[in-house]
Amino acid sequence: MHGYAAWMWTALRSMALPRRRGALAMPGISDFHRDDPFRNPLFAKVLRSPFAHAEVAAIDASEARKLPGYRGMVTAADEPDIHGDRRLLNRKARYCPMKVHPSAEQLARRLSKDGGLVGLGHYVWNPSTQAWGAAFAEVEVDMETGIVRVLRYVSGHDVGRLIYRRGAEAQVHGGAIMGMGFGLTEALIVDPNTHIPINGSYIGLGPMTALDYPEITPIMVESPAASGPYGAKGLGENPVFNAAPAIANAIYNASGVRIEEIPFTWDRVFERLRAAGRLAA
Amino acid sequence: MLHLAIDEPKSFQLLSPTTIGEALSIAAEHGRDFSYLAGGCDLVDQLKHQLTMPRTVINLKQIAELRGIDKRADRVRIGALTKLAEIERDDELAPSLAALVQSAGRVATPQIRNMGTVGGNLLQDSRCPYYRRAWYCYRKGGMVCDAHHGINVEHAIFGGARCYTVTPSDLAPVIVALDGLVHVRGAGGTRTLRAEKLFVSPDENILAMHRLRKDEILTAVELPLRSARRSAFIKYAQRNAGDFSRASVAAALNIENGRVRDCRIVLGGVATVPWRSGAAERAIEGSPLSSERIEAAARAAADLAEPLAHNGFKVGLVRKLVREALTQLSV
Repeated sequence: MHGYAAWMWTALRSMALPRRRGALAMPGISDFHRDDPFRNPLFAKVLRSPFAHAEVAAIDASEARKLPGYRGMVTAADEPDIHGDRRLLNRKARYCPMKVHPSAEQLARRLSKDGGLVGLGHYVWNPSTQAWGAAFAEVEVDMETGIVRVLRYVSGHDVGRLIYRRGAEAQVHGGAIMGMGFGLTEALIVDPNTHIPINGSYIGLGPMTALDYPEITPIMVESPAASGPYGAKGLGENPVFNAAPAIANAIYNASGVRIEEIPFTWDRVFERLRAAGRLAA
Repeated sequence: MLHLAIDEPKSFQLLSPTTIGEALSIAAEHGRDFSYLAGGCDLVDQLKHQLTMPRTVINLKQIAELRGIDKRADRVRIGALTKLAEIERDDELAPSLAALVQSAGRVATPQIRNMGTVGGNLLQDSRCPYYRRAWYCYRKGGMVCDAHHGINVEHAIFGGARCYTVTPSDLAPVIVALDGLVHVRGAGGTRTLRAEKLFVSPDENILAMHRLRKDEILTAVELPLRSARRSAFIKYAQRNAGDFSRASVAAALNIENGRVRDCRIVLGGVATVPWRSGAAERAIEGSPLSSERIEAAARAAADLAEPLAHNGFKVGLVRKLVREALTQLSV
């Protein structure tokens, strides 16, 4: 069996799995967790850093302690082995989904003993650990057709400590090209009537080629942070993010129309220019 | 077992004749259940997507008489198997047939130009995504055009009739603009078509893009060489490499005593056939290539366009192309 047929077979088989609770649910014998009669329910809130990899300087729980019904709080200091590696939790917020079970059990035991609202607080976040960046695009908008061409592109990034300049600049080049493609040419186009993608292959995908993007000027800003090795910060995806917004702003500056949706294809820009009455006829 | 594999051709036998006569006799044996293979850029893609499922593929690559560029004093005969890259790199063609060299150099990517042939480029099938993918369109024998009320960014603004696909070939408008002839050989003998007559509009036959019969082989394209003939080709695609044209223009003209004579303005990527814009030609014929006359020709070219929901930009693009091409020819 090949590709699609095999996939279909798997899909059909997985749909036919027996549902054991179904037989009890039909006559209403089954009970669901929502039907459980809770008495004196406890409410817990798990707090996580809104910024991945942020350095957690402190946890300010003063507001939580003032809330009515406050019963207790568990922090990293209370649970030395909460994630196996205490240092991670103490200093840095990380995604740690696989190791949560033992600590969740401890937390549950503690809650069953004490009860009540456990905690509410927020991280005091140190912005100097974040990697910042800014992009600048100069574009040419053809007011007759809606064709957008990027003429110049400058991308500045705070890299903490620059360790390998050519590698970092190449990363900015690559990110800028991806970001410009993201903003101008690349999209999965779905037919509005049948909801089938019309460009579901490499043809029509439209990543930018070497003949499409302009001169890209990377700028490296150093502001060493304590969180990374030798003060370095991340420069992985950052150069991608700001290309499309920079181009959108440049289009607005050049033509006076705001395009709210990426990619800024010829037909989309044309339609916005026409709607705004700015089309050169 | 139902064969539902994607990106995998149904099995076929590959035969490689060494003469045209041999190829034609193999074709005669297989009725309609065969395909000719030249560069393979279009056919292999179609085989993989099972758009065509012939039991026999006749490989024409071994046929020497289909190759080569034959340059005479008054004409050039280009064999159908000539690679696009060979035309692109031919320095002798560049001054006399500028548009041809420019268009060959704008097809797809260098890799495809090294594979793709002149004949294959002219005879390639529709690139409409609704035809190439899951929809059952008129061109596949169905009874609806989903492109007409779908995402029709790349579709026709001229001459659409039930089918709104566009000619994907970049050489097609050029050989029409340069008054080319197309030599064809089939079981019934040889015949010669004017380049304009090679292409079929959907109101004439919605199932075909060209006028060749199943057994016929395009053997060569013949282009006349005229002294002082100027020509230019310009193409706009979504990206500058690897994409089919959103619109293109091939223009050819003579300038006698400062006035335009024998003007041809042919648009590609805006109609199912290379669209010769008589209105634009009349607007510039007999007058100097001044910026006012060029503007008049550009406006005339886009005058009777009927854009669909998503391809309104092609109207402005046609004006831009004609303006750019004539401006290029005026200096």
